[in-house]
Amino acid sequence: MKTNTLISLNKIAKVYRGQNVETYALKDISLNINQGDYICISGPSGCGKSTLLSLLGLLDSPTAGDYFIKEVDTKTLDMDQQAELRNLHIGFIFQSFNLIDELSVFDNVALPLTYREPAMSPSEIELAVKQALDEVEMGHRAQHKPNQLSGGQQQRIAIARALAGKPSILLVDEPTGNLDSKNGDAVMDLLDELNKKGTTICMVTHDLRYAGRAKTQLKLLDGEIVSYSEARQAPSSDTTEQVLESAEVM
Amino acid sequence: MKLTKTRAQLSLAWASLMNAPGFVTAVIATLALTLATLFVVLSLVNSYFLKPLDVYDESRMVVVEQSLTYDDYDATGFQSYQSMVHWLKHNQSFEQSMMINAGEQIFANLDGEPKEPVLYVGGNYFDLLNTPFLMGQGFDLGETLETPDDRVVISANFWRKHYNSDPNIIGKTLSVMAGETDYVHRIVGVVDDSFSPPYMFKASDVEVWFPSSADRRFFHNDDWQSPWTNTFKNLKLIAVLKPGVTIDQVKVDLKQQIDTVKSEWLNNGGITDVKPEVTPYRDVELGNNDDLSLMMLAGAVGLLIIAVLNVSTLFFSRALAQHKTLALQAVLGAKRSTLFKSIFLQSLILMTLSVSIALFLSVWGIRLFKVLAEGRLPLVNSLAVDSTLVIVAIILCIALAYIFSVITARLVNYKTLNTQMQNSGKGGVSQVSGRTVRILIGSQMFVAALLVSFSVMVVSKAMGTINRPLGSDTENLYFANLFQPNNQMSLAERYEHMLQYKQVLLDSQGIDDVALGHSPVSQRQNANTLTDVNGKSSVFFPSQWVGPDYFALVNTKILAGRTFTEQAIRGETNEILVSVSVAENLLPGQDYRNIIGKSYQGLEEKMYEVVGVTEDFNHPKYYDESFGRHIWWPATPYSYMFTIKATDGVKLTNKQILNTLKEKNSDLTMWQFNDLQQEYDNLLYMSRLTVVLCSTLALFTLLLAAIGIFGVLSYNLGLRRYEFGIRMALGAKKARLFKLMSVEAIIPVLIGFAVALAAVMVGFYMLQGQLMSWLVLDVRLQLLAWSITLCIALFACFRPLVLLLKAKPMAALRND
Repeated sequence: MKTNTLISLNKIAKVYRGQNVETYALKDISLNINQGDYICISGPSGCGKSTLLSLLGLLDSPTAGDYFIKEVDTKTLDMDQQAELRNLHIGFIFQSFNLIDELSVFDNVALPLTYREPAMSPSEIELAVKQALDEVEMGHRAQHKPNQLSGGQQQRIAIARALAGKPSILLVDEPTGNLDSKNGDAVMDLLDELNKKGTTICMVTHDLRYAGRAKTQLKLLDGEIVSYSEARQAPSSDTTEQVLESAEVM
Repeated sequence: MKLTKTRAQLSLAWASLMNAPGFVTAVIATLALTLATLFVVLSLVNSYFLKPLDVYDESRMVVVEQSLTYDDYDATGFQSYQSMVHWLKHNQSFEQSMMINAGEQIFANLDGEPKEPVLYVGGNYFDLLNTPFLMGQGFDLGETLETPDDRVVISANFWRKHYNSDPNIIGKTLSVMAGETDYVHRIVGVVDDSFSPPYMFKASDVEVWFPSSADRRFFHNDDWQSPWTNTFKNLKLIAVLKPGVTIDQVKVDLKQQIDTVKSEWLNNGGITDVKPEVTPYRDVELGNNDDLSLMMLAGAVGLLIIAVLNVSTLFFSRALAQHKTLALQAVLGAKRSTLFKSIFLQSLILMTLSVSIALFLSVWGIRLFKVLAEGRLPLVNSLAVDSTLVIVAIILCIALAYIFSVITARLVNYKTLNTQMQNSGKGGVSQVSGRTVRILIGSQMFVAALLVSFSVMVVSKAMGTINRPLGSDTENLYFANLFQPNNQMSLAERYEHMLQYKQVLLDSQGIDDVALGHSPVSQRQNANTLTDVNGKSSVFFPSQWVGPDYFALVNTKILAGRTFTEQAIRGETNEILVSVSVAENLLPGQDYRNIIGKSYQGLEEKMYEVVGVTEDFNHPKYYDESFGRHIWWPATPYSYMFTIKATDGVKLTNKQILNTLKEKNSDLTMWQFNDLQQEYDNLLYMSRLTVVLCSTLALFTLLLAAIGIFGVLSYNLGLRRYEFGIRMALGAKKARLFKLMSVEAIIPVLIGFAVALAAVMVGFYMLQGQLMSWLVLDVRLQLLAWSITLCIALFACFRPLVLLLKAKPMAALRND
């Protein structure tokens, strides 16, 4: 395993058990994500994209397999430790922005920082929020309420919130799903820019126009990885083992 | 911009609440009104049970009264000076002691010769009751009972009213109207406004204090020999026990002391035994009003329970609305404790606002209560929003905030919360189970039915008093009692004068009719015993002095026999009339008419012949003791007593009557003047107040419970709209759905109602003994109340169902 490996999944499975029925949402997923990667996960509805993103974001637990973040085995973590790890290392960007309407833009961006332990000082929070807002060019809207902004602007705020805590990875779920093409392009340009600056991104999207912007393409079908390719070098086989090998080689 | 973790959460909580004005208003309105009621009652409970009385040493202070045993019954509550003086001087138990008696006096040197209530007190009265003085001082301990004392202490209000706030008041005089010469007293002190005299003497408005040795009723009237049977209800001995002495030891000591003078009281008017009655000072001061405060507390706590159940329902709904924010916080790394804190902060903000408004309202509530109850309940002046109440309010605030946070937090499934952001938030909040909903409905119904039932019992008792026929008219009627100081005329001459005065009144404008006699419609009652020819004494019967024309004027029916003759009024024959209940008490098992012609020993040990039987006189205040019993003595003209009927629409005044009669005899002085309708209204005041308060409580309870049941069902049905939409889409008829849901809602209502009724019955029969003076089980009124309660509850059940079933299936499916 390379030293810059951020996330490592090994034979991950997620099974939903109902009465007399077992549904495999994910099967034998093995994957490494390194610092600076820009991965796009795609596939048809119900293929397990969102489930995989939930597992990556510690929003859900796998039924089987091992999941390491920064070499920490997530199985050993209780809910509070998971929350702490999420707060420190993971930034989320959702399709529906998920901003809190009652709070100002500034307070929305500051929210994850207020959960940090040990607590950040108000001046540290203020500095981090300003930097994040400047990065998405929304510093002038700090005192606005989310409902006073356009969809594209709201998504920029959501990105700033994800960036404010300087996470190791951004998990992005259909970031342009609620935006028109102009705003969608602008958001994707921003994500590209962030990746160029070194931010690791793992994105789920249906939109083929934007999927191609990622360096690595990962396709899921019925809970399994069916394709893994890089922009410069396509994998020689479509099996998970082979994909992993090619990823290891890089 | 400064943003710490707590501030951020507080800011979020506040912003979130501002976004839900309906929820905030409903919660605050419900809790503020309920808590304000609770705080007023808690203030009362605090005064009655927790706050020490402002006296020398409450733990060692006792009130001594006596119980006289006649041949075959005990008479408790009336004390003779003889026994009190003896115990005052001869005891081994008291560190300090003093006698107190209440009375009234006319002050001859003041404008209008006002008559005021006064207290005769021992020298240490002011020290024992921690009396603050505005000027001067009380009586020193040197006064003795045998030496007439000319000192007097007045209240600040009396000083302002009658002495125009004279700064040199000390040493000025106050004259008490007496016979040939008035008794002149020297003012030695002015009591501060903050002092409240003991309630036990029913003289909380007393403004003048004389030394015990100034009470001419016993000590310094040469004509008056105070026999052991000359007793006073308000005469008491207040003592501070020596350290370590118990009440039982005091009783033994006082019994031994009184037995040393047994020869003086034995068979004096039929007395066979004298026993001391010793009661802690606090118990006497509070009377049975602590029962009242406990009942009010139970009512207020019941209201609070209903309010808490209602607000819980609102919080259930709130949890649904909040789940997205909570989920987002979880995704952003908020721990469970952080999320709980976020919920708790919202609850705390709401509770702080509710409690603050409640405290503000309770200040006004207490002021209103003081206006309504001053002089009618003890310690009313000590009611206040004090530090104890504020501490209780803070604890309640935090406790309620915690309870509602736990309720909300229990509905949030933290394990699945994280996943909600990517699942459109569906199912982020655990829905309240059907069992919880049924428990909520059932418990609301139980508490509401319980409160309504007990309120109706209290109302029944009060309504019984209000509606009970008095046995006398009061409308347009007045009572005037005049006397002529130093009157040396014979009874026959006085009688002639009385008739002349009556004619003067009859000739006056605005007066339709006049009768001789004293109406018993009065705050105070006289009571006497009758002794039969075999020497057997009766219990005490309330009594009054009236003339032959009195019964016709006030419409008190004579059911058998006749009214008094003129000879009886002149004192030439001894006649009495008695009420039916007296006749039945004296001749148990016999027809009341049989008492006509029988003779009993009465006033001044003379034999009186019963010449008539009247309907009962049901005194509103003393009915539970006297049961309509009443003796009518002939109004021999020691003073001139008139019951006056005014023309419709005319209001008579003290001054008008006095001036009219002074034209005939300028020496006449008014001793007493009452508007009988006003007196009767005063007597019924507490009963009417009770009806208003309890009815309001019952209505408020029903309203809260109805809102609560409506709310919880609306919430529950709201969660099941989708299910209903499917059922409707699949062809279920409305009637079928209505039946399905109504059974689920009605069963808990009926169970709660039935359990409450059972509890009411058990409670009533268990507490009947203690609460008889407060509760009456009026079956018809209860049935009416129960029916109304049930109807309102069922309406609250059906209404959400009807609203839901009015929706079209697609609307329900879309959850529009």
